[in-house]
Amino acid sequence: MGLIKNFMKILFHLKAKELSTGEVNPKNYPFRDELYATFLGPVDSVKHYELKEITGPIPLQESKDLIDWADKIICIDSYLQHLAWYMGKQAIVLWGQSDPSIFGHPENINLLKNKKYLRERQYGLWTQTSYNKEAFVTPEIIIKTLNERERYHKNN
Amino acid sequence: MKILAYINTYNRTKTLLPIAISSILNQTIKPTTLIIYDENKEFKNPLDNPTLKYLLDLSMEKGIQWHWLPGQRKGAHYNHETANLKDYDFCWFLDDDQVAEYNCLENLLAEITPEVGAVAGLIIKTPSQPLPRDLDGTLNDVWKGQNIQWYKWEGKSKEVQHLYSSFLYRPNISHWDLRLSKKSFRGETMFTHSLFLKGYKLIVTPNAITYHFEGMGGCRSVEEEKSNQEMYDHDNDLFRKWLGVTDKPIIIADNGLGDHIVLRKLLDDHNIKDITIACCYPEVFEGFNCISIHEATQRGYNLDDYNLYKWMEYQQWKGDLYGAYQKLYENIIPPKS
Repeated sequence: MGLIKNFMKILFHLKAKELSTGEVNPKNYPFRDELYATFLGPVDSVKHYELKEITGPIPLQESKDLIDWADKIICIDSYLQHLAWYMGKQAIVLWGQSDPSIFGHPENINLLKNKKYLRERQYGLWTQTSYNKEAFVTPEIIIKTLNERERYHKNN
Repeated sequence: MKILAYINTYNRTKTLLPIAISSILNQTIKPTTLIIYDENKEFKNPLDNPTLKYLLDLSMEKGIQWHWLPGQRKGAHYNHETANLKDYDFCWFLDDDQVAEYNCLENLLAEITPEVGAVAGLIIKTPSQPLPRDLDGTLNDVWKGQNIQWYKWEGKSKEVQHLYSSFLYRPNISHWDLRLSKKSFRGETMFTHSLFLKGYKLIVTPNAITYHFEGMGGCRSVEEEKSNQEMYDHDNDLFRKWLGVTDKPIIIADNGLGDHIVLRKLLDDHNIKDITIACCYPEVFEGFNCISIHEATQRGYNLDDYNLYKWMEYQQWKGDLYGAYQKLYENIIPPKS
């Protein structure tokens, strides 16, 4: 699996707001650790990127500053994908059971594994939706998407 | 416990006022004091009126101290405020065209707890009517020109946002608004809603009943140089300003941060600034007039009417969030040409 070779600043937001029931939010990306491990690589490897992650509520201005800082944004269906869109910055959005055609923006790169995983009641409460890790793309797809975007960017 | 019962009266001395007074004197729980604020042009000694004398003698016999005082002739709210500033635990007033059931005061007092600021019963014009389904005791009812107290219903008492006509209240907490015209239109709503805004509960109990007999007279019929309509308009404008209701259209965003951001983009794209936004994340709407969701409900807005996700579900919406907001608020945000 090829990695991004150029130095790059990547902003992650992979965990949504906690549910009132205490259950895992079905929007949370299930392969966060594997994704990070892919970027971090072996302990003695040369680092070509800087990673920052939003893990909880932060002031809106701080989110805006992080978006300004980042070269790439990888996030779930959260406020960050809307904020990136608002600021005119493209995000790679990791969709699971919510429908990007309703809740997403065509300006972002929307990675939806398969429409069959979309929940039937798109406007229902998330507390009534079970978690399904199968609904998400793997880290390999994310890396592939990033590489393709990089090649596209360089060629244009 | 010291309870002041009082009546503002105008031009009903020979008709309904004696019946109103009698209903106070015959309560199962007696007030400590009865005050009549006499708004008639000419103040006459009540003891010169045989019917009133019988009633006032009866009042003394029952241990209820009475006072018959000239009103200030500036509107009922002035007399209300005078009563409000007296040293009593509770004030209870009837209009001079009302008759309280014998156990009205007892049943009002039964609802009093430390959190309760005022209690009202039902104010029934005969024949009584059942309670319409769409009334809920919020300020929404005011905008509809309705009140749950006007209807006959049974069951549990209801917590409301305002009271009307006759009620029992804790004095010296809020004040009657003396800026109102002589009509004192919306006076009771403003007074009781101000108790509500101070954190007190307002209760309507179906167990306390007062009958309302319409007839000539009454403090709102006092002659005045301004027309009735001018005074009603003045009081209504004052009420709306007091509530913070402006002519600005309102958008209510009782949803997530991401939804707020989409709404902001929509407003920016259409160059819309002059609106009020009730929201959860005002930092998204810097430069806009923002209020809290709580304040929106206190102003009488029904959040369900503005719930984007409920609307999308009801519409089986297949478009995006941006389009959904645009459609929901198409009266404020016209489609871009």
